Parts: sequence; C-alpha cells; structure tokens
Amino acid sequence: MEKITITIKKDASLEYNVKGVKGKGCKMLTDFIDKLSKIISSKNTSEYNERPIDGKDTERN
Amino acid sequence: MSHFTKLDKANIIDKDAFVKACADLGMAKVAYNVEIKDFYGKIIKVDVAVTVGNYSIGLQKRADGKYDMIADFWGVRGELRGAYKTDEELQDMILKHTTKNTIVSKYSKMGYRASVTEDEGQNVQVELVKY
Repeated sequence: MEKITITIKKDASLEYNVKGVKGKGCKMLTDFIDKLSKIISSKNTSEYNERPIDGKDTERN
Repeated sequence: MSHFTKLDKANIIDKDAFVKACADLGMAKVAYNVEIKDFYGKIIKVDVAVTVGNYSIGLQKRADGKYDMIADFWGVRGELRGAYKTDEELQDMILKHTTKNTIVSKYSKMGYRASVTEDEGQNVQVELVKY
C-alpha cells in the first residue's frame, strides 16, 4: 500500500510523508507537491533506500 | 490600505482548484478573461476572477505557467464582513484550500483514494492511499 500524508498548515505551507514507495520513485511522486508551496519538511522513510521490486530506479537530474 | 496586491508567493498551478477553493469559502461568482478594479478604479485584466460584492480576486498567468493571485484584498475583506482580520489571513485561507483541491484532483487521477480532515488549528490533512 502506498500512502502519502500531507499537512497543509494555516499559513498554506506544507509538510508531507510518504510510505510504501521504494527507491527514488518516492521523490518523483512528490515532485508535484514540491511545486505547490514552500515545504517545511519532508521525510524519507527507510523504503527510500530500498530498490524497487523490478530492480530499476530512476535518477533525478 | 486599499489597492491591488499581487501575491507572487502563490504557486497556483490549477485555476479550477482556485475557483473551487473560493466557492468553498462562499465566493462563487466566477468569470474568465475579464477586467477587475481596485478601490481607486485601477483596472487590470485577469485570466479568472471570483467576485464578491464590488471586489474581485483574480489569477494572472506567469511565464512559468503558474498563477499570481491579485486583488484589492482590503476591499474583498470588507465585502466578507470582517470574516478575515488581515489580508494575509484571507490569502492564506484561499491558498490552503487551493492547494488541497489541487492535490486531491491530481492524485485522484493517479489512482489514489483521498480523505481530507481539518483540525481545530485549521490545518488540513490530506491522506492519499493506493493499494
């Protein structure tokens, strides 16, 4: 299960946390959120350092 | 002070999410590609305007594809009969709901189920789940 929890604060700033997405796909998934507002904090879970099941990962430029 | 203020910190990328946010806040009169005025009668053209009484909140598209939010916020607050104590409070409320609507729309299209809650501190939490 993939789960993204986003808190939009009263001042419209954002915090988010992603669970269940392995590798850098996590970061790709949240690039959209990063465009919306200044980010107070984002947390990579331990899954960020795992390789996806298909063994592929995508590098960000 | 009553005149146009352009809010360029607003990273609005979805004008429909902005329109829905304004409707959520009780401002539902919408027009596209129109001119809006401030207290002094200064006119600017906007891509979309939400009007409340004699004042409007507009979006102007930037070169990067995002939108600036522009309005005589003092005038708008007056029309809303003191619901917001400062211009910033009104701006942040619109931005907060616009961001929520943008996220829910985008990730729903990607197959996520969205649930939205708001706590007593007026922070909005969006949970997106995909199995």
